[in-house]
Amino acid sequence: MDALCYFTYYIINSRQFEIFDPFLNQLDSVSEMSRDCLRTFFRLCEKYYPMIDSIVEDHLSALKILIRMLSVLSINEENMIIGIPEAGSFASKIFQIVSTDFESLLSSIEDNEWPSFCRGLIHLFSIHLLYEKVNNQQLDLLSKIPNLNSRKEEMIINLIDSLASLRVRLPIDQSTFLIGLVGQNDLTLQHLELASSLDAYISFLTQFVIDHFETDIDSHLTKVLTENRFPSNSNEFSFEILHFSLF
Amino acid sequence: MLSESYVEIHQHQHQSSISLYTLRYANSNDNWTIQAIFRDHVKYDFSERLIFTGVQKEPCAILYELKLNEYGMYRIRISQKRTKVSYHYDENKVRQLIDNQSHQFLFDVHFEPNTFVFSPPGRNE
Repeated sequence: MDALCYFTYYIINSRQFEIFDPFLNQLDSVSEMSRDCLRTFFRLCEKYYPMIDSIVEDHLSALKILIRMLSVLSINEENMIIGIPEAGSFASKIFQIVSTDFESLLSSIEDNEWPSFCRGLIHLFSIHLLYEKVNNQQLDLLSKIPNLNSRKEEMIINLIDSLASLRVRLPIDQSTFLIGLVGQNDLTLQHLELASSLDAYISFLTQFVIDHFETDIDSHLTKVLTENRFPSNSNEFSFEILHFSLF
Repeated sequence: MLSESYVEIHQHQHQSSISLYTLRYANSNDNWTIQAIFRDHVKYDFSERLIFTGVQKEPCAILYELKLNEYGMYRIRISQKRTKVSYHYDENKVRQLIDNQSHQFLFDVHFEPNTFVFSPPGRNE
């Protein structure tokens, strides 16, 4: 995985942006990555960032390449459960640049670049949200993605999946906002796990029950209940009431 | 007619140059050269393009490029010229240039120990 960083940085450093596509195509896809492997990768990204920083800030093509580089990674609860500070600081840096002119960045994306850009952007947002709180305005960037061929919905639903699997908890207005960007039919019970409090969970669930009457909510509720996922002050009593009132 | 013009384009593309890229971890001044060996022992040297410097004396990643106008099968070698002979280690596989791909990245270059007692210099990836 080290090679991913070295080759990408070389391509940006030498401003040969056009050779990133053949590079990405020739790279083998990765199905699993250990935490050590991921950590080494982000350490290198951080260590050598000064070799490319001014180019990334000045050229959308370079920024785009950096985001598409992240698409190659495999990020999940297992390899992210113990924090990787280097991943957080790298994502934060790139996120700042991305958010300065997100619209220009989006409009520079060619159709063939979209799949890797989208996957990379999901990884960028996931890591950033795992380590730092963002304000609503920053999250609102996502609504600017054009919904051409349901691109936006697909991207948001994958982001919600990724956040739920990394157990990122968002403030209620932010998770409501994200869920609101997706058509109700694409939501699954797993997405409700984004809820950061029992109150939020109940309000999502209530809406969900109305929209998906036939789904097996009972077993999901039992799962959430037994995992004890919400802060302890939300007592078992409210679960009992919720359970009772639904079934 | 169609197939003829296709062949022409195909041949034309074959005349443009190909860049090979590879990485090696080593001290940047160890005087070893990476080469591509084609048939009839035609050798081409890779050039250092970018050094990712580490802490003093720590091996660092070095990125190499070789611009080629040659086609066909080749083998990657690492070689060091001494006063009378040159030492070298070869990869234990033959590579083939990918058709119509003017930038080719070699990710898994690995040199085998050979008749020399020592193992190859640096670390390859």
